[in-house]
Amino acid sequence: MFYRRYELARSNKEQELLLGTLDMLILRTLQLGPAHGHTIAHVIEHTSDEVLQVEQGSLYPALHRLEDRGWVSSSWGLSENNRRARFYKLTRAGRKQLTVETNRWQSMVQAIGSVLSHAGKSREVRG
Amino acid sequence: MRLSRYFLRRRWDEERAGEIKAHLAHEIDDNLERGMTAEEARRHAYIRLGNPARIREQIWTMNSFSGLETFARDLRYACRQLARSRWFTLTAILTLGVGIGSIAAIFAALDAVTLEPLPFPQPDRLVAIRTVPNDTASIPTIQDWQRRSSSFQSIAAYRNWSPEVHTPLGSGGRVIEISQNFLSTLGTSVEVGQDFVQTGNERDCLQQVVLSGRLWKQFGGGADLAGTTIELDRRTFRVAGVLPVVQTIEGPYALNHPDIFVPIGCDPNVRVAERGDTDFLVLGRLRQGISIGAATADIAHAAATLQKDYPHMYGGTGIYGRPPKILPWLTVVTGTSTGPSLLVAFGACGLLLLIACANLANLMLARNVRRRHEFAVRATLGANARQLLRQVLIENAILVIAGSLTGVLLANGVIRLLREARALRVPRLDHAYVSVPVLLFVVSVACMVVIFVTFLSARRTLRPALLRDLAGHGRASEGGSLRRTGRILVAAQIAVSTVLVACASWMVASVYTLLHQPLGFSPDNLLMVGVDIQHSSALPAYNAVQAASFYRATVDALGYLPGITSVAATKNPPLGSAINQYDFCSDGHLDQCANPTVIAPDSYDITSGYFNTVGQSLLKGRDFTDADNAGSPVVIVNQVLAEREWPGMSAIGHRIRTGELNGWATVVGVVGNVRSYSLEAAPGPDLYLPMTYAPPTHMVFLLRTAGDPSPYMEMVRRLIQSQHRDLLFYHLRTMRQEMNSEVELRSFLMQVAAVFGVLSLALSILGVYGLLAYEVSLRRKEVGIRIALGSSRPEIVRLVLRQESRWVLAGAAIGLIAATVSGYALRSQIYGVRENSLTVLGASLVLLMIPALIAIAVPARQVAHSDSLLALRTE
Repeated sequence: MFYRRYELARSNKEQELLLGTLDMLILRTLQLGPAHGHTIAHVIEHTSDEVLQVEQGSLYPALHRLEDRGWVSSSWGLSENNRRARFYKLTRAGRKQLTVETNRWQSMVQAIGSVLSHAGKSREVRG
Repeated sequence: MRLSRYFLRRRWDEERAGEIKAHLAHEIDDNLERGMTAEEARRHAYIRLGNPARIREQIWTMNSFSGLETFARDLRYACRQLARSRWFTLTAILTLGVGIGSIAAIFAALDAVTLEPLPFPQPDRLVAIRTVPNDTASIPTIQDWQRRSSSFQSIAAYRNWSPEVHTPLGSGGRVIEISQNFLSTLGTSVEVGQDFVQTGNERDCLQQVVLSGRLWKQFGGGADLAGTTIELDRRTFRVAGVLPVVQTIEGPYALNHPDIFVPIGCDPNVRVAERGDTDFLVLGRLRQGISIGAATADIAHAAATLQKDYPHMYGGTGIYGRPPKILPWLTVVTGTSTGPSLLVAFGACGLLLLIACANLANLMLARNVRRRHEFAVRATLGANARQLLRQVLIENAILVIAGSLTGVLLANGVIRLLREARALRVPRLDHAYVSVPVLLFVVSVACMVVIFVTFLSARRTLRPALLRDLAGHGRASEGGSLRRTGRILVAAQIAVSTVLVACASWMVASVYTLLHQPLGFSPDNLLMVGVDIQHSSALPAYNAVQAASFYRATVDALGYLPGITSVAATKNPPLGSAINQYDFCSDGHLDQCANPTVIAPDSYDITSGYFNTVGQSLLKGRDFTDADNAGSPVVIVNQVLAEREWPGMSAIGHRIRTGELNGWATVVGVVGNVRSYSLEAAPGPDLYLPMTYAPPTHMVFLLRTAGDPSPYMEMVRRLIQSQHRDLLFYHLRTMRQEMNSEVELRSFLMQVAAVFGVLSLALSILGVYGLLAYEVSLRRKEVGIRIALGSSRPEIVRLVLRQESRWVLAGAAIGLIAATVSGYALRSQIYGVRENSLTVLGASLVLLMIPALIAIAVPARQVAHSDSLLALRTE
């Protein structure tokens, strides 16, 4: 039976990675200081030199999820353009979570890297 | 944290809306800075963000318990849909209610009667020992069984006794005579006072009784028995002990909640210690680990040794000729045929429920197909098959729950009816009520019904061919499998109904046959009045002459009453279930006279004119006259006895020897056979003697009246009582009443079976009609074409009839085969099954086919007479 699951990123094995990654990137951005949703997206894109394009439709559900888990807190405020916007701030738990996620990401990157570099060498299976 | 989100989600949603608006504003600002026009800026901003509504929806979902919410929504939707098709919903709930209610009621009865254990320790060890064919045994026999076998921990005896009871409360009370080990065999003991000591010898009968706790409570209760006495037959008995209040002893006849327990031997009118006085019923407790089969073999061995030691008593075709059989005590308490009958009823209810479910599935099939448009729209909007199935499941679940509730209410009512049905006489039925096990049973049945019905009716409708269904096409060319399923369901219903109708008809035929078969005498307008003259002013001490003259005088006096055509008296009337056997032999088989055994025939002491009064035909010889005296005794035999003793010869003039006279007598007449034992038992050998030889202490007067006998009852009583005020009357009824009470249970079961038959028939015909109405509606276009092409309307009707009756007939044929099998399985319950079967099966077939054919013809006629132009244009 085929049916569609309406998840945050259109469910595809590749992009499930992105789900957790988006959370991490948001937390990282907020580490630099409180910001509202639009700013966060802008910062991520800008910092990555437009390589990472944030799907804005997933942004707010992600923020909601982070808030639900107590990693960010929010409040209404005025933005640069003098518009009313909702600002998000990292909590202490969020800071801890960021460390955890960063470590996890780095160990994963390392692992993938070592596999990729190994593949260049001989394919003999050592005994 | 989640919970607070749930309650505040509306506010959250508002905030989110604001947030998204702000986001868009920021994006538009950025775009404007990048140099786009206002129009483009806005468009790009929206494209970038996506659908704001969907974002809000996602967040809303994250704040909700989505599963529950979907469920609640589906529930509301289902209720709305059901409310829209009111007739369907009502029919479904009622059919389910009837099916589930009936099966729940029978289950409650089964639970109370057969499943609940008896209130004694280790009740599965309790058994009844029954001799074949009379069930009863004598005290010395019972004691020998115990001595000569090793399977029993103890064997006890009991017997009914009906003395005049006088207690501090007044008169009346149920008395049972029990052996000394009766209470200990059961496993109960007295709570207050002590059990009695008794040796079985009437001379040692100590005037003691044990009371039931219930009766003792009515006396006032308490722990002090000092000096409490009761009177039985004008003799005083001391209350020695009292059973616990909660101890219930229930069973048929003597065991029906007895209040007064008397040691055996206290009835001075009946001898106890004689081996031949077989009057006692037997209760035994098996030893641990002994099965009933092993015990039966053991006791058969013991009986065989008894036969060797006392050949006259136990030999040959005598009373003890065959080994005794052992039954579980529970079977005795509830009645030997109750368990199987209830199981049959359970089966019938199961069948009824099956029909109800099949009907429901059919109705749903038709309904689901009509709703294909709705399903197609939902599928287009994004629902998948699982969601559609869930909706259908919820609808069906609502129907089944409503049906189950109706069913439980119905079951309650039915149980109450069953409890009050006197005819059933099932002792433990008053324990039955809608208890927790019954409710659990209902729930599990309901679950099975839901699953069965849903999957039967939902197979294809949930994968709609979207385009076709949305456009509304596709109704005329419905999937063949769908219509086939419907037909199979209805054919199955017809088969099941045939079985139920056949069984009901068999029972009706049984009762009819029993009541209208030739009995050998004429039962109409026959009044019976039994009089016991012992110990009364008519017979203070036994005196043969006095007794005989009383009976003769009473017969004469009764004959003068207006409206009484003829009068006679007999010790036991026809259909009286009496066994009076003495040792017997005839000059046709002189070898038997060397070792006379107690053997059939049954003896009847009668006054002269008996055969004329009762309507029994005198075939040869003569009736008794007043001249017949004991000097040269004469007897009359019936045809069965005559043919047994003197085959091919005339019985007149032959001689017989009977233990009743302790001598020989001459046969002077041969009469026709009557059913002397019961309506079901075929006539056996009977022997008639003039009552003057050994006048009994009680006889039954038979009066042939001019019209309905009931009004004469009072008159007869008054006349008999006018001379002797202290006579005891018994057996006051008309012969028709006797016959009706004998078939009372059967009649009751017949009514129940008839209800089942009618219900199943109605359901099936409804099913046929429903299916046909739906079928012909599908074929309107085809019919329109046929009419336009020149078919006549009757031809169309005939065409439909021909096509549709094929599977109806198939169902009926299968049903007939199943009915025949059932008839064979139930043949012991149905009286006269051999003679009635063909009629019954034929009638059942007709009863089913005619309404079914009408149910096919009516919709066919409707569609054939519809406007052909309209039919052609309709989709």
